[in-house]
Amino acid sequence: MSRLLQLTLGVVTAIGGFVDIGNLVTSGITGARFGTSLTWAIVLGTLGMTIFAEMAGRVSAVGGRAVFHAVRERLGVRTALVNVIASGLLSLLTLAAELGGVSLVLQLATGINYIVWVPVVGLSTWLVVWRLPFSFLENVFGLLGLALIVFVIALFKLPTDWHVMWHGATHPSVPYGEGHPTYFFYAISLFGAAMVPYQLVFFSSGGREEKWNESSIGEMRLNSIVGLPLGGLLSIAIMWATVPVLQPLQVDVTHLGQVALPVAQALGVTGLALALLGFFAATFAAAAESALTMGYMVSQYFGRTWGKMHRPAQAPLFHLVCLVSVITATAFILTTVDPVTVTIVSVVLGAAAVPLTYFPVLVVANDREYMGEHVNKAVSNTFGVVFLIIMVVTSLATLPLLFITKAGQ
Amino acid sequence: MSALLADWIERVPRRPTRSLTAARPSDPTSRWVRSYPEPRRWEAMDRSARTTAVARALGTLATAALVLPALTGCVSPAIDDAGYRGKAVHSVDQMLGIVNTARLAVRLDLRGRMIESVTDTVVSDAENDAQSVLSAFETVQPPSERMVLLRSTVDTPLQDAASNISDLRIAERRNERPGERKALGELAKSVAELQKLQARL
Repeated sequence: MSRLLQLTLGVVTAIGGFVDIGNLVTSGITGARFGTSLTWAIVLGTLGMTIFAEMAGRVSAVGGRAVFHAVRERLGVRTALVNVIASGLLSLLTLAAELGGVSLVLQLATGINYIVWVPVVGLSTWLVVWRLPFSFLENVFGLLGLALIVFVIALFKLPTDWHVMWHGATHPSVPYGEGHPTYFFYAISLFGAAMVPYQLVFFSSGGREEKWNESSIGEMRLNSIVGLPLGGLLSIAIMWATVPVLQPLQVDVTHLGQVALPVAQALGVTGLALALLGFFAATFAAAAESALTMGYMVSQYFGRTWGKMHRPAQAPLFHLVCLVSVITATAFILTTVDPVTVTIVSVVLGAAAVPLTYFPVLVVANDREYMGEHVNKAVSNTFGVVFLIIMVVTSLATLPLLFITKAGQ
Repeated sequence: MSALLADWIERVPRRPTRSLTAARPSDPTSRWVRSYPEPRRWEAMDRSARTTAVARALGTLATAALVLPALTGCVSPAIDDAGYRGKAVHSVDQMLGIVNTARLAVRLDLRGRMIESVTDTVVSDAENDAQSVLSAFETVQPPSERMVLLRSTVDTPLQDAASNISDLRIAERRNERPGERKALGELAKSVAELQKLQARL
């Protein structure tokens, strides 16, 4: 039982980080538009995230350094300042998207316009970040987020042509009527949704909150190797569930409600209610995580006390940054900017920003002085470098594709 | 501003920086990251260098913030025949997907497989989307006589579809089952018409 509880940090990171509003929307869009042909992008992103999360977790447990400690130490103050500002703005955008996402879920559940919910959601997020213990966040939302398994069940109840789906996934090609730039734009959005920097920062900082040490490496590996692929599996299930229902109808997914329709068709009211519960848990957990990440990044960069384990009086900068971030993101969504558009922009820009956050982790994971016998082995380094190259290529391609495709139109 | 930030950063408690000399010598990646140059340390800079460093960091971000919107603003509107035809095709495709979304939601609702608030939200979103597609198409000026003809061919089915979705939303909100079925029938006609148009274009 205690082993099961140990997995929850990985699970909540997977659910809240992997399957957040970004993945719900991009998986829905890509499934309805490209079938299963972009499954590889989720698999690639999941693998990359798992490798780097394990590395960051190890650096956190053995080296005692969270990601932005490593960033400042290895990139220097000036480059790290650019990094902390850019990553901060990106996380703020993600936070706004998540707050909008939670509000959209509440609109689906109640019929009351999402704008009414935005201040309530903002306040609730701040209260969770401020008052509730870290274990509550990981246990409650981790377990509630598992409701998204209804998408896996729905796949078996829908008229799924497994042969065609599998063929589409294993022989990826650009569907008729779609251009290569659009196809790769959405590939990047799926990759970016899987590898958003805030996940890595939250995972490693969460490890410090959980007081990981050398003896926690096994637990940390289970978290990253089981929890994160579970998030990837759920993302694939969401993508695949839309294929037999929305693709034949030529539906262009632009709203969260459309993503839930395959579950309603397969499982009726109960399934739909569970899907909404899963959406809520995933987006709310991600909102809390991205708010905490803002506090982690800024406090770690400036070398101040940080973490939910400290009371506001002991870690004033950390709690102040969390509060200001929630207020700013809430105000941004209250301008009535479309949360789904904010989501797509945030995951795509996230893909452009990943190398700066991931590179220092690879560097520190190779420092025997910090890591001792837990220094990176050749396998981790090989995968780490391959993914770093992929990240750099992705990062260079992101902005041109954003403009050429007019954000995927 | 830069000087203020530089002063603030100066107060950041520093950790001793260690080198990567103890990395595994046999691993090529270890050798590579070991060769990664140590960054210039904050404490090695004088006050003016620190201010310059912060100003450069802020300048890089400000430049990016200015250049990106300028680049996005460089996209020209579709004004030739091919562009206008492309816009028409895109509008028909979009409208077809929107109509099908509304039909699917209400059909599931009639079969008791939906939560009422979800149906209401999905159909209301579809209605708003349909109006957006319609107005986006109607506000584009046709560039030639031929395209004026194309406009009238495409505009009527788009208007009908948008109007039928509104009828469906009204019936759904009033919980009138016969009205919902009637509107679904009209939307089926809209789908057939849009599909015909799609094939012709």
